[in-house]
Amino acid sequence: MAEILTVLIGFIGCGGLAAIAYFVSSYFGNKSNILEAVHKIKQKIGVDKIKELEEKEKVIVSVIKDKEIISEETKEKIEVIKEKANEDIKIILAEESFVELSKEEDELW
Amino acid sequence: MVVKKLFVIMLSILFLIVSCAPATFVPRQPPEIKFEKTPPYKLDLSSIVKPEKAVKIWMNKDFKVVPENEAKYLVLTNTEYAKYIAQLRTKKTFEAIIKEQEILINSYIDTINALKEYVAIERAKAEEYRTLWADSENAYRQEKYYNEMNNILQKSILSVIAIGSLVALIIAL
Repeated sequence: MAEILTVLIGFIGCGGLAAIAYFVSSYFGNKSNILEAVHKIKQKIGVDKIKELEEKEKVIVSVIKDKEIISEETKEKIEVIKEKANEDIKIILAEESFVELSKEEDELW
Repeated sequence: MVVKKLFVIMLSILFLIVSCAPATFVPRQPPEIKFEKTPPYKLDLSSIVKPEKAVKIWMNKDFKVVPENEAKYLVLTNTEYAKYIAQLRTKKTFEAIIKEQEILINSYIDTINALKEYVAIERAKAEEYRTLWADSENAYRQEKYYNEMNNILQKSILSVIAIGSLVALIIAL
């Protein structure tokens, strides 16, 4: 009788330990799930922020490209100004009429 | 026969579940941004025609040619006068070029400012990536710790159960 009781106590004890193990591991499991959710939210917020920053970068890149176009156009404009000036100066130097030269002077003054 | 098939199917499913590794994490690919190098700017003004120095005729109040220091009037022929007008035209050209250069310089200043802003955003991005990295690392460490704790607990308790069962079995026998 005592032996049966010992075996029973032994089994009940083991069962109790198994139950404790189950609760402890499920406690850790729950905590892990919460952490995972927090981690996912943090990751999502971070990735969204990075996306937002990348959009800003795209705007800046387009601004830089626009400015590059403007500077190239300005360089071309300067070349045109120089060419036009050369043509005009050649005409002025070839001009023989004082009247025309005087008119030109009045315009340029 | 049916039981055997069912057993094989169940075993295959179990094998699949156990052997399936989690999907590999592929990080976000940043957009490709490439800038061309800007060559140095050089303004060549030598191509603008420069007239020769004008030949001046100095005259006194009686309109007679005199040396420069005795002169009252300066007389220019149309060719010499044209040289002065050409210089005026050159002056106007330079004014126009200066205005265009202002635009050019400002476009470069805008580019520099935009690049400064870009650097600041890149820094913010690096900070954000750092936060994500730290967060992932911490999450991994936490998960690893819980996993190890879980393993230790489960192994300990299983060992206790096994030993307890053995002891109970020995006593029962």
